[in-house]
Amino acid sequence: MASSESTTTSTTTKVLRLKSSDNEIFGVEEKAALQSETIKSLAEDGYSEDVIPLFNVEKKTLAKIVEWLNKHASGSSKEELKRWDADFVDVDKDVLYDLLLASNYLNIEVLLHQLAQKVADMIKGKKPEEIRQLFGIKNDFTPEEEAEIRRENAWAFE
Amino acid sequence: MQTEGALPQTLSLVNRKKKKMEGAWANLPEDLLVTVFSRMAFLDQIRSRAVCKNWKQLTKDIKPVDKLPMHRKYVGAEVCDSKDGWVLFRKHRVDTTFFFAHSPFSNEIVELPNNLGRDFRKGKATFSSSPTSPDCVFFAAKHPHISICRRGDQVWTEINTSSIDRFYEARDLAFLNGNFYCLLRGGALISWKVARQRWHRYDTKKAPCFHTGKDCLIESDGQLLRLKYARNDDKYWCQLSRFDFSQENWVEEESLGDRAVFVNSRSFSFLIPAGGEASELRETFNL
Repeated sequence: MASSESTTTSTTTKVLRLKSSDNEIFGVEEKAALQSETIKSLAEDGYSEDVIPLFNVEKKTLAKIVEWLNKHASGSSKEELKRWDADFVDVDKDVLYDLLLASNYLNIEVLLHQLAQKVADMIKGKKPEEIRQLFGIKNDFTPEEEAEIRRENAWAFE
Repeated sequence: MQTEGALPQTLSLVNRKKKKMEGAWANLPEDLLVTVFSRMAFLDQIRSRAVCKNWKQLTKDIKPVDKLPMHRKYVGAEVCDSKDGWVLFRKHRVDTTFFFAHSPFSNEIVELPNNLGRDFRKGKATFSSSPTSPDCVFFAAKHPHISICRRGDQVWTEINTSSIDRFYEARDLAFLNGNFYCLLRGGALISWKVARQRWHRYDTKKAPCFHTGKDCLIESDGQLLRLKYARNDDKYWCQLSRFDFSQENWVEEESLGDRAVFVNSRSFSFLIPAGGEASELRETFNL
């Protein structure tokens, strides 16, 4: 009956338990966790007393997400949060990719938009080949197709 | 059983990792790609669409974050020229002409000195490259004065034109390869070499016989073009020539090819490639 004990000791701060795809369990205060629309609807579906399984998020990503949820529920000042968020999204592209997918799956709109903005900022001012290199994208256009794209908007590629 | 079960799992993790390295960003789910693209400026969107097929296909109709603004400064302003995503405007107030360059994509504004003083209502102005680049030069002509200024200059500097033989009014201006070209009334072509600060007059031997109509100078794809057009009854006719630098002469172009020409004798004219969605405009003359 460990779970009922924990609910009695924390009447005001209920803790939800989130399980990553690789079976790591994270305890997160309800107020923080409900910033995710997905968790919110799973909690409403009756998972709240039990463990909420998040099949699409690995533990290393979920750890980062939980960190973000806690910070954004901590009542930090706007400026403090802004600085913290800038550091938070300052990660390599693989971590950024995982966070992007996770925030999309978990439907955390504020975080999703911060991450999308980060990607847009990384792309800003870069040429197509630089963007490909940055994100490890293969150029799958034929030379003719590529020439055509460049010709259509030649001014953007100078 | 346990080891057998664990092995495929490890393998699948390795495979997933490998797959991720290869095509993850190219195959970003559509809704995520849309979210990212909608936070980009117009220019970044255009370049990003040239990254890979998937990005191009999925991002067709996404509005950029910098939707073209109706700027307060536009009111009463006239367009002089446009290139590299920038528009050069002029605005008249009493006896002063103000010039400014605006990029509707980045919303940056570059103000130019206002010591020209004269009414540039019938003058022409152009510029060499993006006004944020350090080597950008602006060039303004209002007969008989021609002035230049560089980014950061406090004043426009008048260029001495006394060395130019038969210096008639400049009908149109263009910049190409370090030179400002002026097409003069009567059809003569002169150029101002920015680096050497020197005028050159081209002796076009048998200039096409143009007596009436409007004359435009267009820089397009590294070529210097001249478009002459006039209205005859209810129809317009136009003639496009290309300047042959080796022969120092105008050579008539037979057709516009896959291009469309947009003409405005008061501001500036330009040619655009009319491929893909714009193919309807092929070989069209737009006034």
